[in-house]
Amino acid sequence: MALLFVVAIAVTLYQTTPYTTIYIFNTTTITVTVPAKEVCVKPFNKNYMGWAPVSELRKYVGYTEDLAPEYEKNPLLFLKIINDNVIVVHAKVISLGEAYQDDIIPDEYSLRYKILILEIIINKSSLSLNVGEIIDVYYAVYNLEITKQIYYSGTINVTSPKVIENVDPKHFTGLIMPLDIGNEYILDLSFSSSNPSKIYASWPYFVFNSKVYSPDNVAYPVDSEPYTKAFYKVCGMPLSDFINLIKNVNS
Amino acid sequence: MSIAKSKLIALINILLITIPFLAINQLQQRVEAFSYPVDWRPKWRNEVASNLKVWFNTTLDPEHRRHFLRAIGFWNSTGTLVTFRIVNSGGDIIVTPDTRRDPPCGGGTVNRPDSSGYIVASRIIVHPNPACASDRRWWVAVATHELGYALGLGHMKYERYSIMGGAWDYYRLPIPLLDDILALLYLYGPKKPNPVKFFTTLGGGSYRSNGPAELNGYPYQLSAPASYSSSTYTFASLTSTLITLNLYGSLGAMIVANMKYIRNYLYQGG
Repeated sequence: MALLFVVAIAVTLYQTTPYTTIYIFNTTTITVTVPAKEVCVKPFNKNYMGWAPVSELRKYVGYTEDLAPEYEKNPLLFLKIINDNVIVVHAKVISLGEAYQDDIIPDEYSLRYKILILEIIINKSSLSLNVGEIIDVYYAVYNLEITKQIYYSGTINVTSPKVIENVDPKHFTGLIMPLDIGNEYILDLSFSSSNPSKIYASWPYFVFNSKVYSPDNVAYPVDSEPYTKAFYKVCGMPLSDFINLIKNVNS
Repeated sequence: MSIAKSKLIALINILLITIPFLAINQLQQRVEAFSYPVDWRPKWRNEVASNLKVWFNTTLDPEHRRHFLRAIGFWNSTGTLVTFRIVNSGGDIIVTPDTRRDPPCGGGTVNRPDSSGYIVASRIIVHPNPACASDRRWWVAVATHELGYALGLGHMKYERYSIMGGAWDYYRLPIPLLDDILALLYLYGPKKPNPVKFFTTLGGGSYRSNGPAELNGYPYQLSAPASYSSSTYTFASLTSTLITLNLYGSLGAMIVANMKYIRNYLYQGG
């Protein structure tokens, strides 16, 4: 009989969607106690830098996604890292640098941030990161000015600057609202094996007052719910419990 | 004749009259899934759709590439206007393992329409790690499904009749099915495929109709039983043309061709 390691995590979650309470992975059963559906009190993102609302992006970009069926049955899978080139960290955003146009479609940009590593939660990669280190990461966004040019001209053959030094947040947004300076996040850092020096940040979970919120459980001044459902919906979970959950799911 | 026997005969008569209507009722519900308005957008311009250039990002692993090549073969075999062609650079549709967004196990598609409602570019994102799902057939279904998005199709209501359904569990056949083909005809056909004249001998009866609400039959035979596996699922009954769809000439032949492709696919074991 295979060894069965049972981890019971009794956590009080405030979720907008009730889930099945028991999740089973290969060798681990995780029990998450979920109360009846309660209203999530979304924390206001006081450091919001004024990015264009995601609803604006929806006018010009059609996005659909499909996930393996087990993700719907077991949403904890969203926390499971299936690529060795992904590092999960708790980090604080220190500064924002340039925006780089580095792909075929001219409105697709990468914002360069500096982040301070506060905790390394998962690192199965060959890349060495240390707590207290400040690193550059990139975040995929759309330059809405160029997006509109594509939309109105009917071609992707429009001119776009390769580098934008002074980023005006109101011209950019992403499938999930970009990171804001001063905020803390749980981030998936990923890199291509062909270019390990360029690290991208994705699937940010907002950390506020030592609690974790999924991207659509954060209050913004504008309608900016993420343009993707691909994350684990969590609202107000203690940070330490969320980190333990990620570790257990990936143990 | 006893009273019991006459009641039984009456009951049978009622069933014989009712069952076809029930079937048609189900059909009417199904047809809603592909009843797009004729001017449904976004879509590619027809001259582009007939020669859609697909570019695989060089970092796309060979396994995913094979899945997409297979999916492209399926779409190209539907006999509709839409044709994909692989190119070595550029491309209308870019298939990429996007580490920048690192999606969970599955795929996503970003379509870029213009103000006239025509798609000018499309990016398909797949997870870079094929090991996140071991079912190769499922990955082919993902590729076919995402290419369907890139063509301008949306989620369909009935997975049994479409690769564009929302529930992956139903994708036992990773191919475009009738609803998908009809949707393509709505989007890219020379005219609205309506009214549809339809005839089939399925189910022990014959039905004739002048409307798309009675597109009975195909692909009813293609709905896999609950205990589906490639070894138990055969198309022995499809050796002859069971269905004639008389839209505007080509669809009948197209569906037969597609069925042939399906048979070939299954006999090769996926």
